[in-house]
Amino acid sequence: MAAGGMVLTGVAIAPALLIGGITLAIQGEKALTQAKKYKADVEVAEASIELQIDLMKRLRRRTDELRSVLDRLDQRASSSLSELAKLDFDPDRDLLLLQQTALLMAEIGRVLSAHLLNPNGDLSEESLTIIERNAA
Amino acid sequence: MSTSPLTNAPITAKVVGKAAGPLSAATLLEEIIKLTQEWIQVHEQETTKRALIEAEAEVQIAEIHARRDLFLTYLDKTFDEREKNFEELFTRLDDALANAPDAVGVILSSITTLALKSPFADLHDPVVLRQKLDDPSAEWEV
Repeated sequence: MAAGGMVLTGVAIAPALLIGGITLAIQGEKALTQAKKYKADVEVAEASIELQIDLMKRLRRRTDELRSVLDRLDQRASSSLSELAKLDFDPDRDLLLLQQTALLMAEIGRVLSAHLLNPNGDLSEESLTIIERNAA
Repeated sequence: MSTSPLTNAPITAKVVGKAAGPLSAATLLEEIIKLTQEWIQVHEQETTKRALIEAEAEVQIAEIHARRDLFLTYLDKTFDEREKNFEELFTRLDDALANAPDAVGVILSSITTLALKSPFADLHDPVVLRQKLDDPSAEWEV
């Protein structure tokens, strides 16, 4: 009788285990979908970050470009200034050189005003648009 | 052997309780079938959802890669072209500083205008960008 009881207990437990297993399988399906969503989000974010890293490398090229322009303007302005300094200045004779020197200095000032980043540290307003579009 | 109703009751009901009774077995079977059907339904729904998630991610990533190629191609070409233009402008500036003082202001203005125009400013409109890349004569002039 005791053995029979144990068999019958097993018969009752098996369906309960089956029900539990199916319930877990249903939850597992949903969890797997959630995990796939996280994975997909990470992959999209990774692609977006790679793009931004590449844009940052081009920003480096932009800084090199501006530095080069400033260096070249500075060389010419310094040269003009040295030339002026050597002269016993005669307005009639040296006005043009003075004017050229002033122009060179003024242009250096204008180039120096170029913004590489906006106040938030981003590339520019335009780059924000790019990021927003990529995130969409 | 006892003949009382209690001792005559089926051993199944006594040992495993109500769940083991014939009626409960039918209910269990019904519950298992119902759950299995739900599982199949959820499996189909979730499989569809996962396929959609993967497809959407692939589209987004492909779009980002396409933008990346477009942006980087445009920026690299633009920087190369600007480099050549700066070289040419500084050559003309040196010539003007030595021989044609009247032209110095105009050339300096061209240099500054080019320097202040950020190549990144054109990135806000990929459609225009593509048009510019497809039409070399329109883009690569200062």
